[in-house]
Amino acid sequence: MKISATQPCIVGVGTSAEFGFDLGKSPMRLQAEAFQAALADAGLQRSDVDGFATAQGSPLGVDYEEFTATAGLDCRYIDQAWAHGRWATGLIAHASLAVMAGLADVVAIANTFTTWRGYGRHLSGLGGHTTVEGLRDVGGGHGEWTMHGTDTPGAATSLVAQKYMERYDVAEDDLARIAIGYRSNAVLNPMAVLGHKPLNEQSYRAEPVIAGPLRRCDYSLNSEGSTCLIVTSAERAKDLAKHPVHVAGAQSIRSSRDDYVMFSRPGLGTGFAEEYAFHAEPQPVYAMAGITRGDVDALYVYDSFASNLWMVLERFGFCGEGEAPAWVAKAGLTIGSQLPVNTNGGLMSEGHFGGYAHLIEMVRQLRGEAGARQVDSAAVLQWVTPWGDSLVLTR
Amino acid sequence: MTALRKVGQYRGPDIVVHPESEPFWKGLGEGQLRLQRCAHCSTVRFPVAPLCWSCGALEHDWTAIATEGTVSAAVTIHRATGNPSWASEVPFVTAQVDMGDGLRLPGRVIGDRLIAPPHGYPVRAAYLEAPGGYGVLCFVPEERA
Repeated sequence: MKISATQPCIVGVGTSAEFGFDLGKSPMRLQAEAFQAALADAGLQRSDVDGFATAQGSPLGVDYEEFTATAGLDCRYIDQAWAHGRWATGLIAHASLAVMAGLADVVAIANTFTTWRGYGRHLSGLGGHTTVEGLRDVGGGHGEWTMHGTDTPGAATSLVAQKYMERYDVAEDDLARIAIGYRSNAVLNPMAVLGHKPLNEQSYRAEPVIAGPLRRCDYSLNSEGSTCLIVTSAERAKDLAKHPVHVAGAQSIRSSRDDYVMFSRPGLGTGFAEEYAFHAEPQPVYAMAGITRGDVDALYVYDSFASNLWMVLERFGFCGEGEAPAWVAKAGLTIGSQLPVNTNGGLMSEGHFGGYAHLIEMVRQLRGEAGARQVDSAAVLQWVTPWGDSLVLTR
Repeated sequence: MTALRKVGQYRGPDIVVHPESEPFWKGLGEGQLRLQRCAHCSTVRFPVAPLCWSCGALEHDWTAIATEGTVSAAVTIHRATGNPSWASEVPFVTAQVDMGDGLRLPGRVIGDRLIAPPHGYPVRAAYLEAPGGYGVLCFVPEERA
């Protein structure tokens, strides 16, 4: 195979008309809305799309072949990952590589989330994946051991948060600051599912405790909606409507015994990973993008749980071991801070769309289209997750 | 090795046992904490696996390990948001327990009072009786020198 010097760009973004808890629309309907919105945003037609990628399959999402058949697409490149919110980097990176290798010209990356309590209550007869990972011999990759009481990612992450807070003597105020900060950003986002419900220190403490130190508002939302991003080459982008956003750098999720508790970080000693003093390694995504960490204008974090922020800040070297809560207290999270985080409100306040809605927000920020949420002169934005993967998008 | 104390009946999601993992679950049902020990490098491993994560060898035997551990982290689960079988059990405490030599095991902590012990708190492995002659690992707090 040969990789050309083609630069991959995101040229179109779109979402379903709404994000919400129970939209009354099928996954296919939501995905159709997002797909059409992204095409319109890019100034492209369905016939231009020759590649398709998704991670969230049916029944709560849409499998690739159901969509290409229903939407009347004709694709020569397909990528379907596992129905987990850890593939955002992967789908964009793979689509970028496909474009660079000539496997595709225009790739639509769509992901739709519905819930069992929402439209999913009509779909239970259709089968699909409901893996109970905690029943595996190794337990679940988020740290679940179903028979031992950690049967959800939240329960497993509560152990990580507890470990971290005891080890580094972290107060509840530090944890609260994260949910409060993201919600403050969400209030400026008309799509955010909880944008109408500001959160402060009093209302935070009124939230029910679910597991360990984590309250309900420290968890991501269980929400419905769809997203679509369109990737193509810089050459193709020249003919299109919007200023292209460059996929400047990428690095994949890590996987090892040390990484088998996803919402932790190496060295913390959770799950069956070793405990040791942690020093962040240089992360290749910066050099690939031709930047340093200091060039990042805003950070986008996979916030399945509030404590994820501490893990990524340390893993990517924004601060040292155990220093993340103090860093957050000093630097802030909100738009206007030194390094805004999750200007869309994140999974915790905008809604859980697997990270793809964060990526859409990044594109809008880089185009100068973020309105009240606009980060001044946003030129370099980074997406990170506790799994160690990252994308750098630039103007 | 010390026999495990039975602290009650297991109530929770059905255990999934298959031939290769059965010695672990059966051992617990007999009051023994038996894990796999690599025949080549002697690493005792968890979770149950057909090969050694340290040296890759397939050959192993099953050995009963010491039952003393210390809490690595413990939390109280207040709401059962996953499997509905936990709804009748909340609130309960679940933990990760350091057993020495880098081994860390999961389990509920079952004691007189519902408190999630802090890091370093001494606990001892125990078991809950489950159907089929199997057991589920758990821990009890204990005073130790």
